Amino acid sequence: MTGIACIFNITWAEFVRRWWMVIRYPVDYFTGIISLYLLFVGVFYGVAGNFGQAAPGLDRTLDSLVLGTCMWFFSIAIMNQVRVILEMEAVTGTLEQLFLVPYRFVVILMVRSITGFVFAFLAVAILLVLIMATTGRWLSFPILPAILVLVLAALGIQGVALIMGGLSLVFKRLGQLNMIVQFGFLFLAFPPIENLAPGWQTVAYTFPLSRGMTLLRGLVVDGWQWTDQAVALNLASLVFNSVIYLVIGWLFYLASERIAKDHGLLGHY
Amino acid sequence: MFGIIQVELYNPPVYEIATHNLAKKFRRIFPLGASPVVAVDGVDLRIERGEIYGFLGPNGAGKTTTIKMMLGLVRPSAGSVEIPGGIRARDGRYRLGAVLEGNRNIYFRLTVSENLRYFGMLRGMKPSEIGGRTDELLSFFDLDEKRHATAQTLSRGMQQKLAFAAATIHDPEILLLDEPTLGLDVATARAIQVKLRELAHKHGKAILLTTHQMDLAQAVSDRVGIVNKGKLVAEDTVDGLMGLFKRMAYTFETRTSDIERVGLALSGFEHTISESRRPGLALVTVQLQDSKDVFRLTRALEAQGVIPERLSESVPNLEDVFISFTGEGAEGTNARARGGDVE
Ligand SMILES: Nc1ncnc2c1ncn2[C@@H]1O[C@H](COP(=O)(O)OP(=O)(O)O)[C@@H](O)[C@H]1O
Ligand SMILES: [Mg+2]
Repeated sequence: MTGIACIFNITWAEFVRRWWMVIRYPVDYFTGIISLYLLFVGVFYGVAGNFGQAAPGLDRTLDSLVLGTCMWFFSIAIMNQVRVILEMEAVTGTLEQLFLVPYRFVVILMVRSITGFVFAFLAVAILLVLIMATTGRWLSFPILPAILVLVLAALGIQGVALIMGGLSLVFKRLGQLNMIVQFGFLFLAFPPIENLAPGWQTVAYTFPLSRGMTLLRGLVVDGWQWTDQAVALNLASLVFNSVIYLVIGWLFYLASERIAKDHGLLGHY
Repeated sequence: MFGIIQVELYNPPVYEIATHNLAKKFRRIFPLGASPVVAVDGVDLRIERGEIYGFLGPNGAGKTTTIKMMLGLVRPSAGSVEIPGGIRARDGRYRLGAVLEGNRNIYFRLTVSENLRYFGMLRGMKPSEIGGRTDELLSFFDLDEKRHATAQTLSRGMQQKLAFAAATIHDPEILLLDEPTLGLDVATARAIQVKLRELAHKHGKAILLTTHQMDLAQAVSDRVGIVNKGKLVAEDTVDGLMGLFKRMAYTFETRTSDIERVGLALSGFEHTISESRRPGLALVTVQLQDSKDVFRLTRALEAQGVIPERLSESVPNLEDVFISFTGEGAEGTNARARGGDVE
């Protein structure tokens, strides 16, 4: 089998496996969406109720809130997936078997991340529709550009995911670190970074997700057009940011895997 | 690019996997400065096509670490692992398969057939090949009826058979099994033994298995290697190892009243005296350095007027061989505690 056929094979295997899991344990898959949905409904009606519909600028805030919630969920799902894959596999005693394949294990990790991305994407789409139906605020936005931004932002977050995964491979339990990173994403997903003071803005933009959020807010909330110059500039720096994070994450992960093999830690949990 | 022009200019080696002076020293990350553990200390193994190699050793001898280095799961600190045919077959399949100790090796939340299909695909099988292999393995291991049961609902023995099936679904040329029948019922262990023999002797697979169960090792191994404290201390065919042993141990019985004289006669020999099953008699086991020592033994007994009854070569089993090389029972029991001191 050639390389391409092989990758196709693994990808198909992963989709099928995930699908088996979703139909066998639907509650697992939908619990995250439902709990986030309930949390959101609480926050949304809290905000809307306090300020009333008349407050100027509230519409934009509420739309940003919808978007921020979905993106935060999406970021956490992606940021956690490498670590969760490694931890779950180590705990269930199948991790080492995944290394016994005719290619590097990191290929499986990436393919699983991609299928994870697709399933997270579907979950977010469901969440978004649920939220829009509940609030009656139907966001209309250019779907393809938004998806492009989403994918690019996801690549950068995948870099963070690989770093977290590498750490968990060596240290096993990351404890509070994971919570801290999740909170970090909260700060990147919600506040409008484009309104910060220039210095802070630069700092915020060195992190992943922030640039993607600016773009998404522009496209979804402020009606930026695909052809606007602001879109092109932001897109360019999003690509740059994501590639850097992905490369750093990849190298970090490979180094961690080597350390784990040095110390015989793959089978431990 | 030149894949088609694979002219074999010399006879390819018949071994499938070999280790060369393989060593592993585990350095601990925490605490800093902790002394390293030498797990494997220069092991040379060579597993040939069509053979089952029993890799034996007491707990902590370095068996698991060796297997994991062969599989690339642990990085050697010195030496190398050689797989002449590579890890990838020409059709893209993975050429190795393993059941690892202390791992589940299978997904508990997937069904029996899902497990096989998933691992088959990961290891480079075409989806169309998997169905036939699955049927074959499931019927061999009597798992047909459980095909659609999730692995967590199976008995321990069935789970281990499934792990074994999942490790061999892609028909690997090299099979490394770490304690494959540990804690299994007799029937399941037997099924695995039969399969192992079929794989090696009929299909030419190279199999290495570690086990604590000497009866299993003795029953299935073509060759045995005994590892102790990270070093290979003996290696031969099962018959060879036991033959080596046989020449060296003799037993006879003698009247209990003669024990003192026996002691005098055997003062120059390593020996043990224990109770015989026949009343009034003692059982004497003598270790000889050389088979010619048997003359010296009989002369010494004659000089003391002791008549050895039922003098015979003691028939050893692999366990005795094991103990003599490692000073330990396979299950961790001390040789002396077992009453038969063979050192
Ligand atoms: N990951 C590890 N880190 C540190 N020491 C280890 C590790 N794995 C095994 N060891 C040590 O290496 C030695 C050999 O272990 P192992 O290969 O598991 O032996 P066996 O399988 O023969 O029982 C033991 O002393 C064990 O404690
Ligand atoms: Mg072991």
